[in-house]
Amino acid sequence: MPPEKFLSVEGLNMAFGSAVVLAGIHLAVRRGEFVSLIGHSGCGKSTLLNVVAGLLKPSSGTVVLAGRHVDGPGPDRGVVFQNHSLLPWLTCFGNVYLAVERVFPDKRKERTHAALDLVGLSHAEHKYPHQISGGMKQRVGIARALAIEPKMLLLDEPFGALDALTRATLQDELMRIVGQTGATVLMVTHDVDEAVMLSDRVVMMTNGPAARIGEILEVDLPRPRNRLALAHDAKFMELRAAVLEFLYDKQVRRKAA
Amino acid sequence: MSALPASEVAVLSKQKETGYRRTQAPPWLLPALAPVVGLAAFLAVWALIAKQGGRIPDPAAVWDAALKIFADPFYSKGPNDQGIGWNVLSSLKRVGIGFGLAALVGIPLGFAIGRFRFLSGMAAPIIALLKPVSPLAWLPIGLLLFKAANPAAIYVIFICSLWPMIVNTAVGVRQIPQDYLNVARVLNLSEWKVFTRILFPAVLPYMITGVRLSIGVAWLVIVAAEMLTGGVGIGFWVWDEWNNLKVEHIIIAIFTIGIVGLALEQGLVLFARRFAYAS
Repeated sequence: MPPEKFLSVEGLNMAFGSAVVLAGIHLAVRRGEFVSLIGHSGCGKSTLLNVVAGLLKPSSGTVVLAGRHVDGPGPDRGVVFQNHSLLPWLTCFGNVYLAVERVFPDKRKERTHAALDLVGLSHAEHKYPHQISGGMKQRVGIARALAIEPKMLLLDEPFGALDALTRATLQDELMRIVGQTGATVLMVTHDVDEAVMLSDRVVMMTNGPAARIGEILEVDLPRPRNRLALAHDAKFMELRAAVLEFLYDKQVRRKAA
Repeated sequence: MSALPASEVAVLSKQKETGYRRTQAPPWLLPALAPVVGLAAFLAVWALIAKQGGRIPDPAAVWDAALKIFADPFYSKGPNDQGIGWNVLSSLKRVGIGFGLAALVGIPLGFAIGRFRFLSGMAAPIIALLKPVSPLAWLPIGLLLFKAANPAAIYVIFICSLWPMIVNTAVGVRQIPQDYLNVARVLNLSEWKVFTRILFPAVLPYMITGVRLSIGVAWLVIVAAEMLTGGVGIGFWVWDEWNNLKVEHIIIAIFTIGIVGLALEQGLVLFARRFAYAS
């Protein structure tokens, strides 16, 4: 397995009945890389993520992760869903523990505590999901995904349902956690700032139906990145403009034509 | 006047508006009073009807008879003359057995029907056809099958408790959000873990609703079934007292049945609250 192909998606087509969603997707992700998928809603970016997660079977094409063919869901990939998907009858601890006990035979409690500590929620371990805020729920979702020490972290619009301030805090947290753990990440988002700030590469998808990868943008901003510094950074502005141009100029015009 | 706190000023101005002092009732009083007034009105109407003559005894006569009956609820003078306590207990026992068997069959069946579309399609016409049938229509079949009154009554309870339990459990299984099942899928949880950690807790509130509906129906039906089958039981007791023309006792039985039914229902509501989750 060449190191630049830790995750490799090749010749992927996806159709639901006669509706073609994805057409000829090729994508390679390096180990330790943070890649965002961005595009207009309905372009199939979540479908692509779900195929990598193994929740959907592609019509044709292959997904290979760390040299192994992806043929269904599995704990080698940690998934964070947009709507947190915590089980309401389990505490925060219980929700993370459910994942931990699936994967590790020993030190389950320590691992659960450690995962919750990583997202700064040690104090809320014994609370139930309805007792905590939306941002905290999503942190538990991230803790659950990370606790199983997956080869890859898959994030499906993880902060989409949060208010702007909470979203910014969680983005910073995610950057810190990814920096700390060296995780390989594939994230679906529709937030341009989020994509540019967090990613090493931004994969821009064309509008559906039959969406493909339009352009790939290298984000060569140095890490660690600081939100306030980036706000005045010319390079950041330029990258951000490039994504906006793709989304609102090339793609919207193509749609109109 | 200038030094008065705001609340007193408000009271004073109100006094001026209405012209007389209103004493504010404590806020719990009115809600507590309403049922008392309702019951009093009920008793008054009853007493009025009793006064018109005929065979309906007035509330005082029933109260006197009740004091005598409940003074010794557990006497036993042979199979046809037992205290009201024994009668209620034997009815409860029949309901318990029939209902328990229905839960044993209905809940797993509900899970299966909720989980597998084909089974659901198989069961739908049968359930749709049989659910509206009065459980008493099954009594002759029960008598035929078991050749005895007691198992036939239990069988009727079983049949009438079965449908709500199957239907509610199946609905509960179908209502499980896809998100929860996706969690199970991405973690690749074992079937046992999926059942104990996701399916069962998610379905439990629906199941308990089914149980509550079932027990309500079962308690309704047992009285009618016992009237037909005889033996010891509150339904049979009502019929027996009708033959003896002791109308006071029939009215006592009506209240007893009501109170026991209420207790069963409330018990299950408390039980359900214990297992409810906030999403």
